[in-house]
Amino acid sequence: MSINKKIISLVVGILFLSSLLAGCVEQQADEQPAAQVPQEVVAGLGRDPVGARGAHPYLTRVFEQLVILDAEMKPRPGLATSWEVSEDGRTWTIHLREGVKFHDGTPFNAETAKFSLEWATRVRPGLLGSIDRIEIVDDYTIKVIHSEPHAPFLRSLFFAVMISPNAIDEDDRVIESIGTGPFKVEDYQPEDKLVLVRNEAYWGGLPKLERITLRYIPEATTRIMALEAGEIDMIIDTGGILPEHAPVLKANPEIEVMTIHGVVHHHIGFDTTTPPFDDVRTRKAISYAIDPESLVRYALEGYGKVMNTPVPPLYKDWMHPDLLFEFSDKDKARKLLQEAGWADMDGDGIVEKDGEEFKVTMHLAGGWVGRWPYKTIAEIIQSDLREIGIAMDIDVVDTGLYREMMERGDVKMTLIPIAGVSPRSAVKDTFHSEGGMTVAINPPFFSNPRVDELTEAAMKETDDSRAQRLLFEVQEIVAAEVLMIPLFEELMINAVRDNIRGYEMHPWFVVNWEDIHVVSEK
Amino acid sequence: MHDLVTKIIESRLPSTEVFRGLRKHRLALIGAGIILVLIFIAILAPFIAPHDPIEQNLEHRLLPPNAEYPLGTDNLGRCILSRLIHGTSVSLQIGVIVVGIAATTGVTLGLIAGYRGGLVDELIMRIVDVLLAFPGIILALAIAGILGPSLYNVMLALAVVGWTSYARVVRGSVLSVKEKEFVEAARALGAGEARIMFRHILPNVTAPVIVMATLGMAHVILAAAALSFLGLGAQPPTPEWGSMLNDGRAFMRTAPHLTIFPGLAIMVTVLAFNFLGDGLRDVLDPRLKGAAR
Repeated sequence: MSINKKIISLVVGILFLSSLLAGCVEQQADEQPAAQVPQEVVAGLGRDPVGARGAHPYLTRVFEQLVILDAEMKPRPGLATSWEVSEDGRTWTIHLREGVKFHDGTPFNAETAKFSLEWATRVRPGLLGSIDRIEIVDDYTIKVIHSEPHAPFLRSLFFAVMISPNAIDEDDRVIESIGTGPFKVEDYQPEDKLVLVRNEAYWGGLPKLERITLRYIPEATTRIMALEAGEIDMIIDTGGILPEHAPVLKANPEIEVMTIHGVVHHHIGFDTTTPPFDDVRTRKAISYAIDPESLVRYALEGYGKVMNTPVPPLYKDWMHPDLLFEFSDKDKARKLLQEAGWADMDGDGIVEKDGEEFKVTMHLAGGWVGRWPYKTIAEIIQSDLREIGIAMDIDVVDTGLYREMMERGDVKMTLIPIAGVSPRSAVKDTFHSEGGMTVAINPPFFSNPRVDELTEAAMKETDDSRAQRLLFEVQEIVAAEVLMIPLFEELMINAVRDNIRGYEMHPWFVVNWEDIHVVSEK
Repeated sequence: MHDLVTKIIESRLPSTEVFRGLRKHRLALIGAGIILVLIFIAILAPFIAPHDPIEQNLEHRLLPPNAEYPLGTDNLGRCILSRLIHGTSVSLQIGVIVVGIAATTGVTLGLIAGYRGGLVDELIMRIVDVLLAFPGIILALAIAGILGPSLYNVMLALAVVGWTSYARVVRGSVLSVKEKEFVEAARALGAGEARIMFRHILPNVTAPVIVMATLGMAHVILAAAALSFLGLGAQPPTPEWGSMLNDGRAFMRTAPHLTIFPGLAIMVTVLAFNFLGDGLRDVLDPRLKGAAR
């Protein structure tokens, strides 16, 4: 018996000592100089960083553009070193950076730049304006000749990635993400993760990080839990962190919460071509029923700014100086409904017209619910509308199905994020009847010939103040007709663990991966 | 299963004896008591709830329990107690409707399969086999996913998944009961098939169905809460316990009362039905009587 006891105490003693030793080893690892810490980062985000046109250029930095937009959204040289525009505003001469190679070894030059721009105009018609032709002047100079001036051309180059000709198949589909950026794709698991390794031959110098894993975590709560557990080192992208999660992360000393006013703004969109929203009075009633201030205060916890016009505050000069939209006046809302023929005849609190109750479904895209507090916003709007006698259902549908339903015209009312690379294109993309290149709410939601005319004119108008006046009129029409309801500009929330340094947020969620590094192990 | 069922049938007791048996079963009594209270809460919800369950009061959001809001408020400033009270009737309704549909369908098909035998039996039981081959909650998830999120679709999905076990048990019971002399006698007296099935055989197979239905209530309420938690069931602003849990999840650390109370409500209700179901089984099944506890 006593021998047994001795053996047991010996074993316990050994276990105890070894655990102490393990502690020592760990401590040593902590004190290792930064240079020896593996330069690997795992970042979480709420969407798949790879889409139909390959790796997301700003989130992954696999691709680069001729022109980049800095944190103030001003154009800066990217793969172009300088540019000139002709007197008539139709011909752009672009000088290209020398000594740049694509990840597959293809040299970047006038020929590949021309190829990339032509590809971009094929897959996204109108993106770069109406380009007549692209000429190669010499190995590192191209001329882009438009058939008519396209004022936001320089900014729109931010959307046109330089891609290796080997990366595209005969149907213009991206088969592999081959760019010139500081990081290249090593592995991609759809709907799961993208692994990037550094581009040893990057023209801008060797990036500090060796490897980046971008993990697509659709569920917002799972995302922050992964960050807290140290499974991921940072959360990036617009809609990375829901406002309601920010206080939890802020209370964690190991995590730094960062914010920036981004380019993304959010709206209520409705189908103005079919009842009940084909009547401007019903649309106006909705805007009187809701209160964006309280949405920002309670659904966004203050992480946003009310907008009174569809142009985001980021482009202040382009915002209409007057407060165009009117909100939160339920009596006016009820009166407008009454004028439009809606009245509560049976006393059930829901208004009717021709024996039919005012019932509407707000469809929300599942992917967006995981990134922005759309569900809370919808529930507050639901309660606001009930007060004026409108029964609103909320239906969260799969993002793919949502897009199909939008195309089919099955969505009557929804919440939509919009982002514009320039004030001109932001407004045109949102309101022109042919829609745009970012998320389109139009078609199918409305079509207004005067708005088409004005937005087209603004695209051609190279003089900013004249273009601003054109867009002011668009904003006046949008507000008078309530073609949509601007809700708020988002304050983008990201977070990093304290061993990650160098991350700086960008309004267009560009990640400065080449500056980011790891200072100690978790 | 088969001979357990036979035992249960053979021990068919008059209802007074069931009550006498239950009276000795303390947990079952507690369960029955809780269920009675829940039924009262559900019926009287509009009168006893201190606030409107869907009325938002954004200035009063995320309040901890206090005098005005005994269980606090949620992220939209709604009274959690009122939502729980109204949620009781939602949950009980789901339970009763789903179990009702599932048991009716299952018992009818089980009776037909067991009594007719042959090809009909083969057909029904193979359908049962196919449905039982899928994990129930996953199948319900798939059905609710295809039909679209709504409380009705969740009930439908759970009923589609749930009837199979009733059919199986009833068929098993019928197989042994139909060989009994009183069935022979009824047949000899010229009773029709339907009469024999429903008047003579059915009363002899109800005991296991009652036990299953009681335990089934617990299972269905839990499954419905799970599906609502996943966003497939009750849609806002319906005060459903599962969706309340889901809504509160983001605030679990800053305002834990958003999840604790709905969680407790689900737990207590499910436990109550399980206690009662266990008690009924003990009473109705002499083989387990005494041995189980």
